Amino acid sequence: MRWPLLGLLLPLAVLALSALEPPQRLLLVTTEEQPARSEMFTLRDGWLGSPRIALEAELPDNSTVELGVRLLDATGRPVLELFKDGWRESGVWVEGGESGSWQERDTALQLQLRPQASGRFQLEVTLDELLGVSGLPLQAPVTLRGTVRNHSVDAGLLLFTAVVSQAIVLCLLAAVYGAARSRRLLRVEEGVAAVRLPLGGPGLLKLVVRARWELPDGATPELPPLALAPFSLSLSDATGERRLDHQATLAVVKHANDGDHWLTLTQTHHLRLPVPGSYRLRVTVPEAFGPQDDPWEIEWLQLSVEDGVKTAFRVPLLPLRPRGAPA
Amino acid sequence: MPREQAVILLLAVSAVGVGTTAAILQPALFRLGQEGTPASFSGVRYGGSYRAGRWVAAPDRSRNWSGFQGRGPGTAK
Repeated sequence: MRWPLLGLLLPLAVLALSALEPPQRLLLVTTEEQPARSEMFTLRDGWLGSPRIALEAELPDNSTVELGVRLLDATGRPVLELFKDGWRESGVWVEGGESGSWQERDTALQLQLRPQASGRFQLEVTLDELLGVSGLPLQAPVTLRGTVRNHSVDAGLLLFTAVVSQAIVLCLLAAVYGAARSRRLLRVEEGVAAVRLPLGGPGLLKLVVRARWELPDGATPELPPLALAPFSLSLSDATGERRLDHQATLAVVKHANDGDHWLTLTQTHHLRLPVPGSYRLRVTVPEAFGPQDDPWEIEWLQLSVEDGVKTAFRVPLLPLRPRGAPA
Repeated sequence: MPREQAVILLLAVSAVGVGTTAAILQPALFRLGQEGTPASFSGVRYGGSYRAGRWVAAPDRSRNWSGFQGRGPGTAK
């Protein structure tokens, strides 16, 4: 059951589709004497997304402004009026011998609303009080660039939906595929772990092998860049016949943290045992490796056995020898 | 399918459905003519509000002295 994973795609597809809508661009240049009017644009009433008007004012550095913005309908009657206090500031910071420049601003304006009915609208922007750093009036025109979209969607909610639904779907997959007929965890402090268990039946047998090696106290870590460990996994059935003999040479992973050094190995294998019965599993890893006098020694070897497992995705299986087949 | 798996599946499907539908329809969005004003963003103040379906401009619309502190104690503004 993998199809719920696709639930993630629906909100993301909606988000991608809404981004495809070409916005209508607006450009206004306003001065204190001369209010600016934008081109006419259409605001549509409908259920597929909602209209969104975004404006960004290009202010001179170190200035504040009060912009009066009016939304006018086709007859020129104001249907909305608002004031935006915008500012832009930059400077230099010096701290502890380091320095850099900073820039902060609040010059953007966003208007999200639905019209009473689809129609043509335009914006009128007046410039009030463009003040410089010392509070003195500046005589400069202010350019505003804007976009009008008619089918904008709530991007934050869509992303939130994607994350939440993915988390629920992962819970669902864990509920569907996390079940096993039996589980056994064996941990030994040597390089050989062996256990005989009643296993087999529908589903797969999942084996997870983990091993950890450490240096004796005080030894300095010394290891070639690529450390290889011989690994073997074997399975015998109730009559003692060897049905699986898997040998591999695996690279171990080096870890270091706060002066501690250790090596780990993790291997996962799946088998299919259609006939229930008593089976013996045996895993071997090296007891020690590295230089002769100061070798890395095994700290523990852990074998986790889960029987009757279903997996969400195809996994490679280790093939078993048929009964009576020559080794 | 066991019952708890069906419940989780139902939860997942409804989370996707409700979240995506709400993001497209945006049912709480302000419509011109509705009482009040649209949601406010940083540094924005509305110069009026809708009352009974008509935009009514606030009387003092071009100047707002609420941020003006003046000199002297705060009570003597």
